[in-house]
Amino acid sequence: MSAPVNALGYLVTRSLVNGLLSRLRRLRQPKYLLGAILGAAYFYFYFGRLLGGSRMPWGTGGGPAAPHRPEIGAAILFVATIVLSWILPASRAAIGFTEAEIAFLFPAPISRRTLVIMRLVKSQAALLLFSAFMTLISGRFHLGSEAWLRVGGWWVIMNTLNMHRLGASFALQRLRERGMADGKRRVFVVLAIVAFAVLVEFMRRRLPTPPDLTAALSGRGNVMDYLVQVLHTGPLRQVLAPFKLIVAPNFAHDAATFLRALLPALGIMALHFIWVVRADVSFEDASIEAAKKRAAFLAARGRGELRARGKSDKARTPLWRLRPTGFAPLAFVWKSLLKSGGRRTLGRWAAFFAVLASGAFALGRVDRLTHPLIVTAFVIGGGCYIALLVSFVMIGQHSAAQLRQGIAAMDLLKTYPIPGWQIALGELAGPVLLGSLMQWCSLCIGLMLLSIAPPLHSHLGIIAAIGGGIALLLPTFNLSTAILPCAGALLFPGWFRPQENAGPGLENTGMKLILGTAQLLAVVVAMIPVAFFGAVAWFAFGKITALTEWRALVAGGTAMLILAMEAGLGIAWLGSLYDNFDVSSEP
Amino acid sequence: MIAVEGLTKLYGDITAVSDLTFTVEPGKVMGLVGPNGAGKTTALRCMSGIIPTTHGRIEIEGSDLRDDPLAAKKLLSFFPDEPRLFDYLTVRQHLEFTARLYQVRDAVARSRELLDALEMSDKADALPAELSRGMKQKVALACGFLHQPRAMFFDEPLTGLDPLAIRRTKDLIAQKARDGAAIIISSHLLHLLEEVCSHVLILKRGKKIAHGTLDEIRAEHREGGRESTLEEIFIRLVGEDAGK
Repeated sequence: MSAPVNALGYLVTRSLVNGLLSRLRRLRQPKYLLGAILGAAYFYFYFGRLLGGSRMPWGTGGGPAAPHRPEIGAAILFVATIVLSWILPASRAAIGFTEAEIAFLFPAPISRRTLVIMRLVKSQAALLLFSAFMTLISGRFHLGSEAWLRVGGWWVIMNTLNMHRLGASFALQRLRERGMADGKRRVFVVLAIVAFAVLVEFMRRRLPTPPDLTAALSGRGNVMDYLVQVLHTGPLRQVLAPFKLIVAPNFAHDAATFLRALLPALGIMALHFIWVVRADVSFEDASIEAAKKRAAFLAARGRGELRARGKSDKARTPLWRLRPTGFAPLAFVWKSLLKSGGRRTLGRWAAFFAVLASGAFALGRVDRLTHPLIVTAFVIGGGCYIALLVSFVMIGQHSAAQLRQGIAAMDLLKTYPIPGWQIALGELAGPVLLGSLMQWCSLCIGLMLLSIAPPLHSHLGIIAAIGGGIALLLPTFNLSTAILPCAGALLFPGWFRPQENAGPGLENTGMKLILGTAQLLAVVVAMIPVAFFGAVAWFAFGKITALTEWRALVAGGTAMLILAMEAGLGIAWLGSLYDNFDVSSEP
Repeated sequence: MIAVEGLTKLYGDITAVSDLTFTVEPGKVMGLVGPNGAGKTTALRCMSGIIPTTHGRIEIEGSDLRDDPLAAKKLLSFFPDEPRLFDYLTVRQHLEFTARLYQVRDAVARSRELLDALEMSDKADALPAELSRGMKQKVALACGFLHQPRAMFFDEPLTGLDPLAIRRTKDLIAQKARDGAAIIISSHLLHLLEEVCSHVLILKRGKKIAHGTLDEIRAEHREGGRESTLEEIFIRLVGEDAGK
C-alpha cells in the first residue's frame, strides 16, 4: 500500500508547487498583479479584523448561564447531518476522483481499499482548510493559541462526518445491490426514528420528570434553557453522548481539556475509518459518472454558463416558428428564449406569476386582513421587491455571460453576413427581454400588495404612476447596464474569463472587484443625464399640470428616451467592437 | 494473453455488454468495432479493471482480474479516448508519478527513451495547458508504455491526431504487438484498423455479432464472389445502427 500512497504524496506536493509557481509566473502580467494586490487587500480587510480580535456577528457567545447549550446544539446538528446521510442519498456510492485520477489510478495495480484510503488522505488538506476557515469566521482566532485547538476540534468533526457520509453511502449501495429500493430505505429510517420516540414515550414513567414546558412557553422561562434541560437529562443525554464526544474537543478551553476530549473523539473517528476502508463496495461506475459530471460543470462554468447541459435535457418547443427571412437579431432572441427553457418553462413562469398576481389582487379585495394574510402579503411583496433589486445587477451580468459564450463561438459569428451591431443587439435582447418581463411582473405584484397598506390608500394614483414610470425605464435600463460588461468582455477578454484556466484565487477576486467597481461607476455616470432630463421634464411639466401622476409618467418617459438613446449608442459601439474583434487575441 | 469468458455488464436493467467470450494471443491486435453505444468502451473498461463486471471472467497473462486484480493490473495498460492529465504535473512528472504507481525501477532511462521515441523530449517540462491534444495523447501513450504492459486496451487512440501522429501511433502499436503484447483497439476508423489488426470483433447492442481474423471475416462475408472491405462488412452487419 505504501507505493500508491507515496505516489499520491508525490502527486499532491508536485501539483501544489507547480500550481503556485504557475500562478506566481502569471503575476508578471499587470492585470493579474493588480488583481492579486486588490484581492489580498480585500481578504486582509475582510478577515484581518477577525485575526485582530473582532468577532463576526454570529460568533459563539457561550455564556456561563448555559454551559451545555453550544455543545448540545453542535451534537444535535451532528445527529441531524448523520440522519440525513442515511435518508437523502439517491445515487450510487461515488468517491470524488477527478477524471485524471480515474484515468491513472483505476487501471493501476491499486486495490479498492487503497483507493479509498488515498481519497481520504487527499481530502485532509481541504478539511484542514475548511476547519481553519470555520474557526476564522466564528471569530476564534482572537483566542491566540487556543484557536488552534478549535481548528483541531473542527478537523475531528469534519473528518468524522466525511467518513460517516462515505460509510453510509457504501452501506446504502450494498442495500441497493441486495434489492432494497431507496423509498423503502427512507421509510425504514424514518420508522426507526419514530419507533425510538415511541419507546421513549412508553418508558416515560420510569424516567426523571421532565422540566415544565408550560412555564417556558408562557414566558416565565426560556425555551432554549428548557430544550437544554431536556437534552441534558433523561434518555436523550445517553443518546447524544457519543455525538457530544465527537464535538467535545471543539469546546475545550485549554490544551489539557482538549487532549482529554480528543482521545475518545479520535477513537470514534478511527472506528469510522475502519468501517469505511473495510467496506468492499463497487464505487467505480458511479465515481466515473460523478467525475464526468464535475468536469462538465467546470467546463460550463468556464464558458460562463450557470449549469452544465446533461443528457437529460429534452428538446424544447420554441415560443414561435422562426421564419427564414426577416430582421436577423430576432433569430438571436428566438435562440435565447429557447435556451431559457422554451415554451414549457416560460409557460410555467407565466403561470407562476399569474397565480401570484391573482393572489395579490384577491388580497387587495379583502376588507379586513387577518394576521396570516398580512404575513403572506408581506412575504410575497418582500420577495418581489428583493427579486427586483437583485435583477438590477443580475440581468446585466447574465447578458454579459451570454455574450461571453458568443465570444467563444466568435469564429462562427464572424462568418455571419450581418453587421456587428445586429449581433450585439440580438445577443443582449433575449436576456434583457426576459429579465424585463420578470421585473414587470414583480413590480406589478409588489405594487398591488403595497396598495393594501392602509396609510397608502390615499396615494394609490401616485404609486401607480411611479410604478408605471419605473416600468417604462426598466427595459432600457437593463440594456444599458448590460452593455458595459459586454464591452469589457470584448475589449479585455482575458479579464472576463479568468476562471477558465486559473480557478479561484486572490488575483481573480481582485479582478472581479475591479470590474464590479468599474461597472457600478459606469452605471452611475450613465444615469446622470437620465436623471437630469427626467428632473427637467418633471419640473417643466409641473408648470402645465399639478397632477403628480402625469408628471411622474412624463418624467419616466423622458428618462426612458434618454436611456434608449444611450443604449442605441452603446449597441452601435458594441457592434464596432464586434466587427473589429481579433479572434486571435488572448482569451 | 487476454482471455475473456462470458463478460457481462449490467446497469440496472440495461445490458451494456452481454456474454462476451474471446482471447487475444500475445503479439496479436484485435479491433473492437461497433456503432456508438454498442458497449465498446464499457467492455474495454471492464477488461482493464476500471469498472467491475457483473458476470464473467477476465484473465491477463493468466492472472484473474477479479481474484488477483493487482497482479493482473500490473500487466495491463488502458488508453482512454480523451487524454486526461493532471493540470499541474509536467510531462516528466507524469512519467515519474506513473513509475511510482507501477514501481518501475529503470523509469528514468525508459522515460527518456519513450520521450525521444514520441518526439516529446523538448516538452518534458511543459504543463498540459501548454500542449496540443496530439501531444497530450503522446503523454498518455508514454505513461501507458512505461511499465511495459503485456496487455493493452486502446479506446479510439487515433481520434484528433494529425496524419503524422496517426502513422506514428500505428507504428508504435504494431511495434508493441511485435514485442509480444496482446492488444485490443476500439476505433471507428475501419480502414486504419485493417492495417493494424490481425483480428476483429464486431459488437452490436453489447452482443458479439462477428469475430475472427480479418481473413476469416472477409471470407465469411464475401458478396458476389468479391471480397469486401471491413467497412462494407460492418455496414452490412450493423445495418440501421451504423449512422446513429
